[in-house]
Amino acid sequence: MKHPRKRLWRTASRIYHCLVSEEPSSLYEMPFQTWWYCDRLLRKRQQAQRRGWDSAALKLERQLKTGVTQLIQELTTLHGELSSDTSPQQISSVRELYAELRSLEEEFGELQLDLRAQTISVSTEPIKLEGVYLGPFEIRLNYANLKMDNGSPYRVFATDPHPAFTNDCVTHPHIQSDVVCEGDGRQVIRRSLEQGRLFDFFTMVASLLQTYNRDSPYVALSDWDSVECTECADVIAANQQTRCDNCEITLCTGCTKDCSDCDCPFCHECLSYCDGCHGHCCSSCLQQCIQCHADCCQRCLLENERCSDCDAEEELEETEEELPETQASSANPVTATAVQSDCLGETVVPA
Amino acid sequence: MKLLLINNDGGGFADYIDVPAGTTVAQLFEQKMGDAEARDYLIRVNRQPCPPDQQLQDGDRISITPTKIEGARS
Repeated sequence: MKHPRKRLWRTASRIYHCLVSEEPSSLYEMPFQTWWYCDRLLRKRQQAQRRGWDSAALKLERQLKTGVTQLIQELTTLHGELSSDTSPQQISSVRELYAELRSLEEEFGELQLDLRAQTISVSTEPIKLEGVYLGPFEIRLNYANLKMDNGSPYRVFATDPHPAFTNDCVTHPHIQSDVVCEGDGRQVIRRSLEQGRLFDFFTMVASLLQTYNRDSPYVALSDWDSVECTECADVIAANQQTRCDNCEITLCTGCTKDCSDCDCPFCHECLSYCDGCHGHCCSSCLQQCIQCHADCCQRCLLENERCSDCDAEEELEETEEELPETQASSANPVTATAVQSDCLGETVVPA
Repeated sequence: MKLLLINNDGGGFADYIDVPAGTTVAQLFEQKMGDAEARDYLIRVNRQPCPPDQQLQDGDRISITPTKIEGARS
């Protein structure tokens, strides 16, 4: 639906007033915040290594790599800003802004204007990068503050979100929490906004969404459907993950232990040991010996609900109980020749 | 004749330039962008799509925007 001319003129006029009333860009700043962030991570990692906390050290190393990449990016951006053209800003006139809005309608099909919220939005076609479907995105610009000094004046929303498996906030390799990291495009996007070149701004953001920079994504497309093992922090494909049957944490193959009785997967914390054979066994499969209360797996617990040790002891006791009776009977042995009464078997014979 | 050239490649700048009359879009692109491939750019004259052989007019506004802009992790 095309907007009436009057509405577009009103919007153009408002954007123009916002552009001319804004103060010039602030001075350049060194990225100290990111520098100190990396410094803190480096110290924590060293501490974790010294204490032998391998998983924590691995996780911190990953965060550190991300931080250093960000630092390089910020320094590169600063270098670009210092090296770029320093000619005075050319701000679009109301007529030009009107033409920009018209051309946006033609380029994106539909332009959403919200005069109250002071926003302009366009929607992209569904985006698919390297075979991964990410869906369409809405680029929403708040024209009340077109400078990029105090945070980004625009947001990019996934209208049919297909976020990374590991992080719901990452809806695109270069978008986190609806904020785009422009990378190479930062300088040029900033300029287009400051000059009121709305058409250039929206087309550039759309181009950025269509491009994948494999060197610096929030989540790599190759890992889009991947998960992190909770125990060792290793990244594994989602279809290769295992969940602990008890606490349901994600596990890699190396960190999964199967119960020797039910064969269900468990994490290290949720698995116990059989006191009899010392094999891995889950708490559901373990049963206590009725005599010594030792935890036993099904193989080590006998039919009489005793462990083999207790069973052996019981047998021994039974044998010992039988022994005194035997000794008593041997003390009074049955004689082979019975004592017989006098004249037994004698017959009176007539003389 | 005088044109407004907006080059959104690299740092991005907008400036008025003088070109000989009859210069086409393709010629201006070659002159300003060197060996770059035109298919990697969105080229607009007065915000409208244009053919490579379109002759430029005095006061035209030409914008050259890369179609591939690499984002990054912030």
